Parts: sequence; C-alpha cells; structure tokens
Amino acid sequence: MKRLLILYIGCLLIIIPAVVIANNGERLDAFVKANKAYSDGDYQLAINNYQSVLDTGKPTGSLYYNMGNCYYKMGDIGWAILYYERAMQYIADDPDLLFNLKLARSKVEDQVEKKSTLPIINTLKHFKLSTLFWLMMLSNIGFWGIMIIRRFHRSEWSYYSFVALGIIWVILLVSFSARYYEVHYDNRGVVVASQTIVRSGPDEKETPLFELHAGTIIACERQEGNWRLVQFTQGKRGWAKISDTIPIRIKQIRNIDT
Amino acid sequence: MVINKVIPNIKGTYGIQMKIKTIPFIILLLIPSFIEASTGLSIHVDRSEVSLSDTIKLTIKVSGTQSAVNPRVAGLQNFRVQSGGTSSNFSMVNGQVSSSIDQTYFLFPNKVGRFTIGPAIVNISGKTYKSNTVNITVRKKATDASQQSSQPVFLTVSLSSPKAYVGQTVFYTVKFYYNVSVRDLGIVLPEGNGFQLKQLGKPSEYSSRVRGKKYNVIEIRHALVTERTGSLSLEPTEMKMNVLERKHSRHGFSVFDNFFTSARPYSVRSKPAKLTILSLPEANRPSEFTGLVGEFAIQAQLDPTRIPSGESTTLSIKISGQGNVQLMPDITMPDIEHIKVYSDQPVISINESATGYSGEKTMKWALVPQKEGDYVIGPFALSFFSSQKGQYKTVSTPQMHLTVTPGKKVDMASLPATQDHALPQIKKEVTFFQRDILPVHDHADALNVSIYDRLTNWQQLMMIAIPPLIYLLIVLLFYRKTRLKLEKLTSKKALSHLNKALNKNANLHISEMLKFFNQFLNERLQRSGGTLTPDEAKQILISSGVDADLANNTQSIIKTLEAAVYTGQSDQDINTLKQSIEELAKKLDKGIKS
Repeated sequence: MKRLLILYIGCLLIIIPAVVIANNGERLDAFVKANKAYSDGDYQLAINNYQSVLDTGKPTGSLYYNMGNCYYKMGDIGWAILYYERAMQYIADDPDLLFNLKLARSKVEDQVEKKSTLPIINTLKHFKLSTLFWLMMLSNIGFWGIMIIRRFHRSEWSYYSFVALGIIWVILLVSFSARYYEVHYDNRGVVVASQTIVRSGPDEKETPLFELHAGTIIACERQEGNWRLVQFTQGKRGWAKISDTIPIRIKQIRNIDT
Repeated sequence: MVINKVIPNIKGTYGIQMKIKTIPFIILLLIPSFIEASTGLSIHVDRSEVSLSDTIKLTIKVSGTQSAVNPRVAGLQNFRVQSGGTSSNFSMVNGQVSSSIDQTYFLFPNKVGRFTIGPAIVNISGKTYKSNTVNITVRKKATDASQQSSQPVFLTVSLSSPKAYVGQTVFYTVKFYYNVSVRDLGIVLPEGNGFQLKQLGKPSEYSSRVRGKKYNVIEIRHALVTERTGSLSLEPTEMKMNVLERKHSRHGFSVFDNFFTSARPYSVRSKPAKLTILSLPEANRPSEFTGLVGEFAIQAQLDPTRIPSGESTTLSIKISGQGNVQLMPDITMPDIEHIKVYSDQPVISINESATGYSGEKTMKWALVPQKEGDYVIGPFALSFFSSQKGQYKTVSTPQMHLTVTPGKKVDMASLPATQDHALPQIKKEVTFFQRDILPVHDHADALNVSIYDRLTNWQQLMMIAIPPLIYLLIVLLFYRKTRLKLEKLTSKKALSHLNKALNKNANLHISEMLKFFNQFLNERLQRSGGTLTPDEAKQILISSGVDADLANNTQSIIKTLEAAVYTGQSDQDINTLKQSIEELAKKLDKGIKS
C-alpha cells in the first residue's frame, strides 16, 4: 500500500510538469504564429491565435494589448478599446499601451463628459495593482517588524521608525485597497458595435433615447434577456443590446451571464 | 494750497496767479533735498467732446518740483475758468524719488467749435518749460438731455454716428444725469442679436447745466461691435439705483435730520437708438484687403543696411492705427533670391481707451544673404477701409536697399550661432505627420504571468495577514515570560534600591525610612503594593521561608518606626535605626526564598 502511494505521487510529480511544459509550448507556438500573422497583415488570423493563447492559460497585459492592436488595424475601434482597457488592468504603466489607447480614444465619435474625480484616484490609475501590492507588502513587513522590535527594545529611533512606517503602511494599504476595488469591481463596459440605440426598456419596441458609437465607455448594470441596462453619463441611461456592449472585466461577464 | 483768482493777462493767454495760503509744513520737511526727478510739464482734459452746458476738467501737471508755479495756458479765451484746487504728490520707489504738483481747473465753454488748449508755459528757476496741447470739440446742447430735464434723474444715450460701415467702431455713450443723492447704481445695457457693447475706459464724472438746472453727470462710453449689415435697433438702456430721501422729524428741525434718510429703489430708461450698418463697398476693393477698418499706417526698418555675406540683418515692419486692430494682418515676406529668411513671432499690443481701440503689430525677420550684391527689400503694402473718408486706402513702406559685401564663406550649419545676436532661436513645435499605433509586444515576456497574477485571492490575503499574525504570536508567547522576568529583576534589585534611597539624603526623616522599608518588602516579596502592618509583615515573611526570629525582628522594627512616625518620639538615634534597617534588609534578602 505504502509503495503504491509513493508510486502514485512519483507519477504525479512527473506528469504535472510535463503537461505544464507541453501546454506552455503550445501557447508559445500559437503566440509566435499570431505575431507572424500580425506582421503579415492577417489580423483576423492573429486574433484567432492570440485568443487561443488566452484560452489556454492565464491572461497577460501584453496579450490583451496585442489583441487591441489587431482590432485597431482592422478598424474596429470598439473592440480595440475593450482590449486596451483590459490590458490597463495588468500593465497600466506601459507607455506603448498608453500611446495606443490615447490614439484609439481619439477616434471615438461620442464626446465624453469629464467626470470630476479626486486627484489621488487619477494618480493611482497609473500604478499597476501588482506594484501597489508589493509595495504594500514591503511596508506591511516593515511596520509589523518594527512593532516586534519595539516589544523587546524601546528607543527613540524605534519610535520614529514606527511612526514613519505606520504612516507609509496606512497610505499604501488604502491605495492598494482603492485600486483593488477599482480593478475587481469595475463595472465599465465598451460599446463594440459601430452604433447602438439605447432604449427606455429592454425591448425593440421601447422608445429610442439616444445613440452611442463604437469605443464609448459605459457603466454596465443588470441585464434582462438580451438587453443590458447601461449608463453613459449622469442622466443618460437606458437599455442597450447585450451583443453591442461588452464589460471590460471578464469575471463580470461570467457573473452577469450566470 | 488754495488758488484765489484767475486774472486775464494778455490776449489769448491767461496767467493764473496763485497765492499759497497753507502748505503743510511737515510735507516740506519731508521733501529731501536730493530729488532727482527731471522737471516736466503736461496738461490733460477729462473729455475731448462736450456740449455747451458741460464742464471740462483740465489738469496741469508739473513734475520734478514741489514749489508753487504760475503756468500760463494758451487757448482758454473761449472758456470760463474756475479753480479746482491743487494737489502735490511725492513718491519714493526703489530709491527713486519723484514729486509733482497737479493744478486742476474747471472749464465752462462759451461757444461752439473746436478749440486747442495749450501749450502751458511755466518758468522754473529761470528756465521755461512748455507742455503739450489738447483739442476740445464743443457741440450744441444735447437735445435728448433738455427734453427730460424736468426730472431729478434721467438717462440719455447717443451714438457717435447713425450710420457706420461694418467693422467700424461705433461709440455708444450713456449719460446719467442726477441732482439728488443716489447710490447702488446698476446699468442694464441693450442686448440683441448681431452686436456687442464693450465698455471703454472708466466712467467719467462731471457737472453740467440743463435748462438752468445743475446736474451731476456720469458718462460711460462703449464700443459697439457688429458683423452684420442693415438696420440695427438698440433697446433702451436702463439705470437702476436707490434714491436717498430725507425724512424730516415731526418736531421741525432736529440735529438727527441727516440720519433719517431712506433709500427708494428707482430706475430710469433712455430712449431706444437706431443704427444703420453699411456693408463695405465692392468697388475699388484692393485684392489684399483683409477687413481692416479704421485709420492705419505701416513703417519698415532694415538694420543694418550694409553687411558681409553670411551675416544677418533685421527687417522690422510695424503696423499701427486705430479701428478693428484685432484684424491687423501678418505681412508676407516674399522670397528673395540668395537671401535666407528666418521669421520671428509677431508682437501685438492693443490699447483700449475712451477714444476706441488702437494698437500696433510688429513683425521681424532675420535676413541672411548668401551672396554679395545690392538687394531691394520691399515695398510692403497694407490696405484698409478708411472710415473717415469712406473709401479704401493702401499705404506702403518705401523700398529699402541692402548692400552685401563679400564675406567669409559661411557654412549653413553655423548659422544659428550668427543668428543668436540678432533674434532668439525660434523653436518649432513637433507635430505628427500621420497617426498610427505602436507595434505588438512580440517578445517571449509577453506570455509571462507576473507572480502577483499567479497568486489567488486567498494567497494574497494570507501574505498580508502573516506579519500581523507573527506579531500576535510573539506578543502571546512572550507576555507571561516577560512579566515574570521583570518581576524577578525587580525583586533582585530591591536591596540596592533601599540602600540607594537611605543613603541619598543625609537628613532623612523616619517617615521616609518607613516608606522605603515598605517599598523594599513589596519589591522583594513581589507584591503589587500597599503598606504592610507589622503583623502582616511577620506572617508573610514566615510564609516566604524566613525564620521566626528574623520575622519578629522585622515586626518590631516596623513597630518602632510607626511609633516614631505617629508619636514623634523615638528612643533610638536615626542613624542607629538606619543601620539596623540596612542590616535587617540584608538578612531578609538572603532569607526570603523566591
């Protein structure tokens, strides 16, 4: 029995890395093919290959960025902005991404009404969530470390270190929490259809209220049937077709669909 | 300083003789002897166009002196002159001292016409100074004012001309007449499609007589700007105010009469005005006409006019004038063979005054001839519509000649250094030729998932929670241990604490001895505190392993100390007591078992 168990664990130890390596090899292969297709100008093939890479593993900011580029080249501004916005959740400080996103946004037909947000929130948007996490972890270790030191050794330097680390720890904890909330509870979506009519109710017969165009950012709320309740700005809300508007956060799609 | 009288002196000239009655002596003392400001004389009037019933305020400014002067002013024979007082100014800015005297006169026109006042002439320290001149146009009495003159307050409006060309500045003048006390004035100007009214300068205040009654007048001038042609109706202008009414006391005269005033809201409206805007004539319109209406001039300067080949000269062209100065055009510099041209940013200045908009635009070029020879620069022309003459005019600069002598061969790359002396380097804004996205991320790192993204939410939470959990664990583990350690340490140090306390003060009192001994017992027995009675001390010591004799000794010494404290009498010397406490404490320290 004991031997059987050792054999079983041994097999697992060999098979799991082998599967992972094989999987990585397939991903890399599809990724190379996608890059080649992109450079050849076959953007649809590039999208298919990038999508297969995304489907077989964890997403990365660069993959979303590349998808955005393919859609931009195909003239599909709505989908391009959707993927650039998804990439922003991973590589918010990438200069290529910021450049391309700015260019894509400039091609959106609808005029965005400026929202007044706190300057600190705008500053946080330029930080990757992972950067904030590691900074926060560093300050977390430092703060609790100095607390432990002060249990055994109380001195002036330890007091001032405790105060300084405490302030840094609080700031980083709040910043990380705010950014985490922003990323994980992002209800924004993008209009991917070239134009969509927003109606007063979830039906074709309902009164058309206003029109939105590809690339416009909206807030997604609940859905009924094939319709989604969206809000463009304060006072401009209504029902748009689900297929015309896609939420930026993928988990949100799953949540809404279920 | 008070001016007493105005005496006619010679034909066409009035000598104004003054007698100084009071000059504040302190001001004279404060005036330093090192005033360096140069002496100067100038005159100005508050308005250039008045009606026969209006007054004009004439100010003669003598700068660089604090002494009284007797100016003679030419051209006052058609006015009645009344003194308005004298004021002296003294200022010191950044160490520069300046002083001046302003002499004010009110002029009452005697007849209609256009008059030139000045120059004023003054003699200071044997030297004669001469001022500028000012022109005043006196018109007949304003009919609109006389029609309403029965009212204590009324408002009139007037246009500088009932007809104007599009682009021409038309003045819309509002005059508010009042001979009662008013406050909180507010003006409501006409609004309409196709025209805008913009106030010019500050409102002027003066007095005027309408049908024999004296009125105070507030005059506000506006520029009327319009781009449309045809007939323009301007709604009446409204002036809102509070009129102060004095309430008389019931019992006739009262010293409080002046305080009993009430403000009554009131408003007056002017008559509407009509203006016809004519379009600019098509006939004889110059091809380079850009819509400029008014009176303009153009000047050009080339400096230097003789340079070696490869060096630069500066060409400056200045357009100045009055009218719609915002439309002053950029002069185009034609290509000149063998001359490289570097343009500078044009400098525009626009002034707004009661007489309308005036301004000037200066354009500069650095010309760098590449070859020796004689070059002809210009002429440069400017076309505008003269609103005074009602026709198009073209003014131009004379031709300028540039002589270029042979110079050392200049490499074009070195030109900017040459230019530095003439004009500042002109920076160019970098603009996109076309817009496109940046390429895809095709490096293998694009597939790398960061460590953070690999972590699940639970793992992240655990990572955050680990440091505080470690801290809590340490706190719990070391809490009991730390406390016991501290207590043990205190009990060990109890004897040394007692000895220190007893030997610290030479004049120790018995009550302090008792206190210190109690502290010793508490510390050594690891008690939380409190005072032990002699019996309690004996029992606790016996239970702590101390033999009975030593416990009895402790009991008796506490009794002795307490008796000494409470009765004030002791059969033992204080030093003997101290010694016996020290010896007893030493024995107890050894005898008490931890």
